[in-house]
Amino acid sequence: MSCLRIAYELLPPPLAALPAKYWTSISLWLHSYTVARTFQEFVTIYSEARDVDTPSEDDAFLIGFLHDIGQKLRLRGKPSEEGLVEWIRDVLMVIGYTEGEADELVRYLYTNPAETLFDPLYDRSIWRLLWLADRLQGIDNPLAILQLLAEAKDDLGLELNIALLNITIPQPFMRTLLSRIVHKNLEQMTRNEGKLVIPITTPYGLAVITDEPSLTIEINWDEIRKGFNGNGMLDEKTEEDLEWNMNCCTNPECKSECSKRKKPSVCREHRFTKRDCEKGVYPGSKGNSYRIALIYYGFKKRVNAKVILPDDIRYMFQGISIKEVEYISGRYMCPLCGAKTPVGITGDFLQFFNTNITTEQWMRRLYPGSVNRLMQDVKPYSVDPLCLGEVILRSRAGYPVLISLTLRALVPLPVLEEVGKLAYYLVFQLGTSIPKRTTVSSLLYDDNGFEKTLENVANTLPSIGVPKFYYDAFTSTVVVPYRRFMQSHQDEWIRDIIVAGILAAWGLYPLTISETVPSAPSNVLLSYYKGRRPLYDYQPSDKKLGDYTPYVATTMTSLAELNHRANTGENLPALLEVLDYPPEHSPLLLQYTSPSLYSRLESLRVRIGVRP
Amino acid sequence: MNGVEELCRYSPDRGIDYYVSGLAGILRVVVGPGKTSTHAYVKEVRKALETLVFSVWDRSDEYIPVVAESNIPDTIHSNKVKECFRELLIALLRRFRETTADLPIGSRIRLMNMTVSAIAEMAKRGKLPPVGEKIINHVFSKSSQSVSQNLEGGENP
Repeated sequence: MSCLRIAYELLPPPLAALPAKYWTSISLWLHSYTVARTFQEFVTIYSEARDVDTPSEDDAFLIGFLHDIGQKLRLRGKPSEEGLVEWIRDVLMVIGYTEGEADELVRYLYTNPAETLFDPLYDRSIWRLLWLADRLQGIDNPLAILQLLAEAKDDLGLELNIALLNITIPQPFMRTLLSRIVHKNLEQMTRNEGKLVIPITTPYGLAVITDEPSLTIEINWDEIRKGFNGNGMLDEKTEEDLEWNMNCCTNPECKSECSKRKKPSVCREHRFTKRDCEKGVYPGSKGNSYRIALIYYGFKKRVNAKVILPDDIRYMFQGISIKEVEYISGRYMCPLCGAKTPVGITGDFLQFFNTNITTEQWMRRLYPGSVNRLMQDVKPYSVDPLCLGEVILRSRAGYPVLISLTLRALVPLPVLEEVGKLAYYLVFQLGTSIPKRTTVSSLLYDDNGFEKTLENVANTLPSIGVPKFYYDAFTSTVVVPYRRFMQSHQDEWIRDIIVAGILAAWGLYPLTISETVPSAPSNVLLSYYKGRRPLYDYQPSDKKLGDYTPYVATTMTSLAELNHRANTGENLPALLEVLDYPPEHSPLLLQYTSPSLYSRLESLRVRIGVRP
Repeated sequence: MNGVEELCRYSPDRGIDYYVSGLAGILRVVVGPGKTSTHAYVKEVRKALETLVFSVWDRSDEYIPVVAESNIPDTIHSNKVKECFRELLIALLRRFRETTADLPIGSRIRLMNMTVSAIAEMAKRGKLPPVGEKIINHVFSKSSQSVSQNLEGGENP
């Protein structure tokens, strides 16, 4: 059975949403899952390096997952409260453990070797690995890992270093592409070169735990051209159009024909404009924007010419370098990122990629409006190549509204990828089924539909790949592009709140729903571009309010049921009113919006023995 | 303190949802599940909450027991059930007073309507939450064969 499925069997939604920490908003489920997967990874690597008795992969996962659930659910030292013990024992036996084995594992609800570093079952070095996996969740500074490694050095007998890899370019989608390339390179290092490499994402870059004294990554620009799935950043039709237009620009006859007021149909088909033949900027050549696009992002129709980037960009790479690139300082200001660029294209050329630039999407520091109008007095300006890449990636993402998860706690890179897959599944499982009340409720724990949902999750997840979702290894962010603008303002509210509720119930928060990727981690359950409401505008890490998070998440989800009731003729006040109350009212609000979901949540809570 | 009192009484550890579940449980047995009119379930609770919000808000400590006492459904005949209902209603009113003291009056009224609607919905259909079941089992424990017998359980007046 997959780790993800076991994790949700042990701590099902919406109890998965209970908070784990006071210093940052991270759910108990995600904390436990992260520690479990990290410990599992550490144990696998350590068993290759040292000859000690280690737990099996499955046992390592379970020990990591259970390590402080007992404490977090306030059961420590109270063996009379047997609900949780019974629950865990039952789940373990259902997934194939014998009674004796289950009893052995259930012990970890009461003893936490991550703190004591002692348990008769395994050597101290193994518990030191659990300690390390747990402590990584208590810091957000990548360099603080060095201190942890120094403390663990004697027990582990390993000399480990930290390599900090970071890319701080202001184009979030380009960062996700570079994250993917760096991730692949690190995987190759482990697989082909046998190096010890454990990448951990932090809000301030990618910290790699390694035995390599000076680990750096070199990327070829060709890897960027390939895009996420190796077929190129641009689709085939766009590349063909770009090539045709580029050739037309250099052919005076074709250019003159296509520049007429009444263009031949072939020019219209390829979306030719005279402006894009002339207004681009590239040192030592005429301003053929189509050619510039193919120089940088052409894959099948690539044009061989030097890749030049603004000099400002050079210093935004730490531990990572891009080969075959020349950095030159330019005099054209990019209206999107502000870099002084020697190469660029006009803002209007971006429409070629079916994108209209607005300040909401690109320049959050300015008031909403047209970028062209804002930039009319700033001349000369030109969109730099990385922003062009950003536009291409966003246009291929397909949906203008994004749902993002930003974490402050440290998470291994493979786990961040898994979380991205899960978020994508949950969002798109719902995408087509939100109006159907039953489907939404089967996404939360009950005795019937939930098992089927979990099975689907476990079966579908391995086949989900980028670019359906995006993950940024350098800011610990997962992004799922998830919907277009809808006709009704209220429909958008309802849908967004339900989706956020489902993700939160499954332990995935803090969330942002916006047209842009958030530039800094948030601690609020949901930051929503359409407005702040008291129900979700709070920090789950808050000591007083955090315990209400499962109720808040379920109340948000239950808007589906309330909407259904309103649509079937029930006389209800405005649906969104429930968002106007603070989290401490959420149990009552849930009773109002969906008595059945409230009953299910309460039954689960009583069964597991979680105190209110 | 006996079990029934403890289950039905106000406690600062309990949220308002606890009392909503308890009242819904009792009303389900008293009125019977599945009635089409929600009014039948909540006319007394609604009246009590409206009196609190519109008439005695500033002197609630003094009046809450009186309001609760005068809004017990006539259909409850058993003293034990009556007592539990009264205690739950007092607790609901007190908790409502405490938790909504900082809300603007409009929000308070809307939340009052939601509370009433929640009790009606829970009493009317679906699975009761564990608290509701527990309270029913305690207050109607003497005879649990049928609704009519339940209503006559406990000490007669």
